[in-house]
Amino acid sequence: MKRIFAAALLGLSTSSWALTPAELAAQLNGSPFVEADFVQDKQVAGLSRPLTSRGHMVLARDGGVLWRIDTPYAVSYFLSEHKLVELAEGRREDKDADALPWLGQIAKLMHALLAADLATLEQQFKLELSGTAGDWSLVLAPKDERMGAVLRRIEVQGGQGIARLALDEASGDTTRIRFAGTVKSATAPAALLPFQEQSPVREEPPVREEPR
Amino acid sequence: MLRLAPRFRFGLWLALMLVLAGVAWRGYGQAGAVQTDLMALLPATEHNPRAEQAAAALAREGERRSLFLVGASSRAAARRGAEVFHASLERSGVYAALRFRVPPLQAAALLTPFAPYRFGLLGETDRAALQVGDTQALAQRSLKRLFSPLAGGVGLPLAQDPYATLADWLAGRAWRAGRLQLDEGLLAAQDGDRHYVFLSGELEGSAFDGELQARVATAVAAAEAELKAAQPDAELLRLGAVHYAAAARAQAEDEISTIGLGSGLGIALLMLLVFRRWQPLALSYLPVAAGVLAGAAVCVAVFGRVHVITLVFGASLIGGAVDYALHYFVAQLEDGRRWDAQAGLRRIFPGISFGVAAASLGYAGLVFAPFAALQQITVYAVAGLAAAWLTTVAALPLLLRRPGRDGSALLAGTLALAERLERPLAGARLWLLFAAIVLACLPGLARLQADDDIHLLHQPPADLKAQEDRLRQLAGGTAGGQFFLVEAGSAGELLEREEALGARLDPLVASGSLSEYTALTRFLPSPARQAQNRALYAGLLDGAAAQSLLDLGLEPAVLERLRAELGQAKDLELNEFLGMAGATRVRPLYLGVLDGRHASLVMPGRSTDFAALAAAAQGLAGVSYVDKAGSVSRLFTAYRENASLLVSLAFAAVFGLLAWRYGPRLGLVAMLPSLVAVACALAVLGYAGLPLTLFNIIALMLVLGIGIDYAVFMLEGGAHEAATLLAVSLSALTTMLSFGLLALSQTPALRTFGLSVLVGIAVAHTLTPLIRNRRKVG
Repeated sequence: MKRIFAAALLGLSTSSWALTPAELAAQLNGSPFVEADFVQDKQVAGLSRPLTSRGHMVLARDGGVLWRIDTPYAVSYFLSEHKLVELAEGRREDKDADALPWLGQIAKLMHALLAADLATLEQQFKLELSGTAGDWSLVLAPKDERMGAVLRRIEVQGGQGIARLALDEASGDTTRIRFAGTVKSATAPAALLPFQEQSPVREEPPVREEPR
Repeated sequence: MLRLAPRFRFGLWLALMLVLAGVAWRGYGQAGAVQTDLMALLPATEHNPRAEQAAAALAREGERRSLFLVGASSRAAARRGAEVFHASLERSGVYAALRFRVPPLQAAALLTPFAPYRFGLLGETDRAALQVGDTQALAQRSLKRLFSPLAGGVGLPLAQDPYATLADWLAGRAWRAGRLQLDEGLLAAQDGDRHYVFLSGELEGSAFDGELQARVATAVAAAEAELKAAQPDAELLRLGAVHYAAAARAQAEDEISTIGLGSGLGIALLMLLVFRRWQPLALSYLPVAAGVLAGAAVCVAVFGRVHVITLVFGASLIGGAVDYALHYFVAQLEDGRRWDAQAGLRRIFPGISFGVAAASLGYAGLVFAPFAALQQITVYAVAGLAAAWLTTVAALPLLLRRPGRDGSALLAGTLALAERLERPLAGARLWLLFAAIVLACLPGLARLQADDDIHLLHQPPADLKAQEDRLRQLAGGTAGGQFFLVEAGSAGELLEREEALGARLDPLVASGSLSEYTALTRFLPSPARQAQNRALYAGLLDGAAAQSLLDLGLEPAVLERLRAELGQAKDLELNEFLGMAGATRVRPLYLGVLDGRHASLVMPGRSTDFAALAAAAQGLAGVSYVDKAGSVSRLFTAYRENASLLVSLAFAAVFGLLAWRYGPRLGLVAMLPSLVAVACALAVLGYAGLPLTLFNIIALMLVLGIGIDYAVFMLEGGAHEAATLLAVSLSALTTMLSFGLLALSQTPALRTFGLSVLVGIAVAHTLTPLIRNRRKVG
C-alpha cells in the first residue's frame, strides 16, 4: 500500500497541478452526507439498446448508500456492509449482508467508489489518479484474478464532487452513470431516514434544486 | 485333581502359567491390541449389510478428522490467533492434511461447466413458480436484476441466461454449514461479539492409535499455548475422536490403577489384620495375578484385540479371584499348629470347586448377549476365576506348608457374633425378616426407570463435551452419525429415489426440525426432473415473459438461439457431474456401484426429531435410514428386556444344581439370600433415582453367582462353620472393595454396575450366615 501511494505521489509530483489522493479524499468527504441525481445507461450484450434508469443517490460518509431508482420503475436499495434493504411498491425486504458476503462486498465497493475511499479501493484495485482538483480522473484496475474475472476497468471522474462513473465488465457489458445536482449536507437527508437505525434529529432539510 | 501328586500338580500349573504369559506377551505385543474405540464394541445392527459397511466407512473417515474453532473478541484477533494456531500445528506435522485457507474459487469456473445443462437446472423457487405458470415472476426478477446496482458479475451473460435461472440455482446451492461463512479466504463465524475461525485436520493413522493420540495431544496443547500467548483472550474449541480417545484412554488407565491399587491395598490391610503374617498376604496375590494373566491372555487369544472396558472390568475381578485362597488361608488359621497343607486343601476342595462352577454359571449367562464387550468380559471372568481356583488347588499347598498363627480366638469371636445376630431370628422370624426387606424394596422397585442410551458406555469429559456442542452449533454438522443409504439399479433411478426422500425431508427443513440435508440431488437432479425442468423452461421462451424482455430491447435472435439450444439439450449425467469442480462437496456421497447396485448417502444436518428422520425413509424403495447409535440403544433395550428372562433362566439353572445336591427344599433356602439381595440391589437404584440399564442386569447375575457361592460354602462348611463364616466374610469384604471402587468410575455403565454389585453383595453376605443352621432344620 505504501509503495503504491509513494509511486502515485512520485508520479503526481511532476505536475504542479497535481492532485494528491489525500486532497481528493478531503475534497469529496467534506460533509457527512452527499446526495445527487443520477442517470444510468447500461449496455448489455443481447440488448439492442441501452437500459436507462434515473433516480437519486444518497451517500452517508459513515457507511451506507441509498440508490433510489425512479424510472423505469420505482425501487430503492439501501446498501451497507452489514445490511441490505430493498424497498419496492411499499414492500420492504431486509437482507443480512453477513449472510450474503458477495452482496456485502459490492455494497462496500460501491460506497468506496462514491466516497473516493482510496484506502479501501486500494486493497482490491490498482489506482491511477490524474488531473487537477477541478477536473480529476481516477482509474481502477482489479488486482486479483477473482475480481478481474468480473470487472475490467472502472473510471471515476469529477470536480468538487463525482460527476461520472464508467464501469466496464469483463463480459463486455458497460455501465455509464452521470451525476447531477450534488448537494452536501451535515444532517441525514429525509430519503435516508427509513433505512437508519436511529434517526438523528434534523432541523431543516437541505435545499436542493429539482433537476430532470 | 487331588489324586495327582502335589509336585506334579504344581508343575502343570507352572507350565500353564508360562504358556499363558507367552500368549499374553505375543498378543499384547501387537499394535492396537488394546482397543479404545467404543464403536468396536458395538454389535452389527443393520439388516442391510451395505448399510453396516457404509456406517463403518463413515465412522472410519470421521474418526480421523479433527475440527477446531479459534475464537476471540474481534475478527482480527480471531484471524491472527487462527494463523498462529495453524502454523504451530503445521510445524508439528501430526496431521497429514490441515485445511485452513480456502483457495479463491472463481464463480465462473464453478458455473461454466453447468451452462450446457442450465435448462434442466432450476432452483426450488423458480421451479415452483413455473409449475404454477408464473413466468412473470421470473421476468420481473430479470428486469430488477438488470437495473439493480447489486447485479454482480455472477452468472452467465444475459443472452445465455436471460432469467438468471442458473445463477439463482447456483446461489441456492451455496456452501452452508452452521454459521460458517467464507470471509476473505478463511471460514469464519460470528456469535454476538465473539468471532471464530475454522480449521480442520486429517490424521494419517487411526484416532485410536495410542502413540498418535499422545503426539496429537502434545501438538494441540503446544499450538493452544502459542495461540494463548499471541492472543490472551483467545479460546480453542476442538472436536474429534482423537481427542476423546486420548481422554478415554487416560481415564481408563487412571481407573485401572485406582481400582487395582485401591482394592489391592484394601485387601492387603485386611489380610494383615486377620492373619498377622506376611505369607498369606504375599500368596494372596498369586491367584489374583494368575487370574488377571489368564483373563487377559485367553481374551487376546480368543478375540485378537481386547477392549479397554474389558480390562477395567478385569481389574475389579481381583476381589473375586482372591476368594478361593482366602478359604485356604482360613483353614490354616483354624488348624493352627496341626496344619497339614494337603489335608486343608481336601477340606475346602468341594466347596471352592462347587463355588467356581456356580459363579461361572452366573457369568456364563452373559455369553448369550451377542455383544462383543459382554462376550469378552464373560471370557475374561470365567478364565480368570478358573485360573485363581487352579492356583489355589495346585500352587498354594506347596507354598503354604508351614503352620500359621492360632486363629481359634478369632474364629470363636466370629461364630459368637453370627450367633448373636441369629438369635432373634429363630424359626419363622427369619422368613418374616426376608419378607419385610422385600416389602421395603417394593416402592424402590416401582420407581425404577430404564435407560438404554449408548452414552452409558462412554462419558466424554464435560469440558470436551461443552466444546463439541459449541462447535457443532457454530460449524454445523451432525452429532449422531445418522444417515440415509439410497440404492438403485441405475444412476437415474438412484437420483429419483433421492428426490423421493428429499420430498419428505424438505418439510422437516421448512418446519425447522432439520437444519439441512446434503444429497447428490441438491446439485444433480434426476434425468426425469431435468426433463421436467426443460419443459417448464420452454414456457419462458414464449409468451408474456419473453415479450417483456423483447420490450426491453432483447434481440429476437437471442430467443431463437435459446429455443434451438433447449431443443437439443441433454441431461447432465452422474459421471460427468462427478468430474466437475462444483461437485466437490457432494462427491463423497456417491458410493459407487456396490454388488451391482448404485449407492449414495443422504446426510441430514442437525435434527431435533430423529423419529421424523426415521419415518422419512419408511416405505421408500431402496432407502434405508441408518442410525448406528440409535440402533445400538434399541438393541440394549431388547437385551435388557430379555435379560429378566436370562436372569430367571440362570436362577433356574442354579436352583437345579442346588436341588440336585441338597434337595429342593434346602436348595430353595440357599437361594433366598441371593434373591433378596437382587431385590435390594434393584430397589437402591430406584430410590437413588438411577436408571436401570443392561449393566445392572449383568450385575444381578454376578450377585446371584457370588451369593450362591456363599450359600454353598455355608452349607458345605459342616464342622468348620466358624472358618467358613470368616472366609465368606473376608471374601465379601474383598469383593465389595473391588466392585465398590468401580462405583467411582467416570463411565456411567461401570458406575451403576459397581453400585449394584456393592449393594447386592453386602446384602447377600449379611443374610447368608443366617441360613447356615437351616440344614439341621431341613
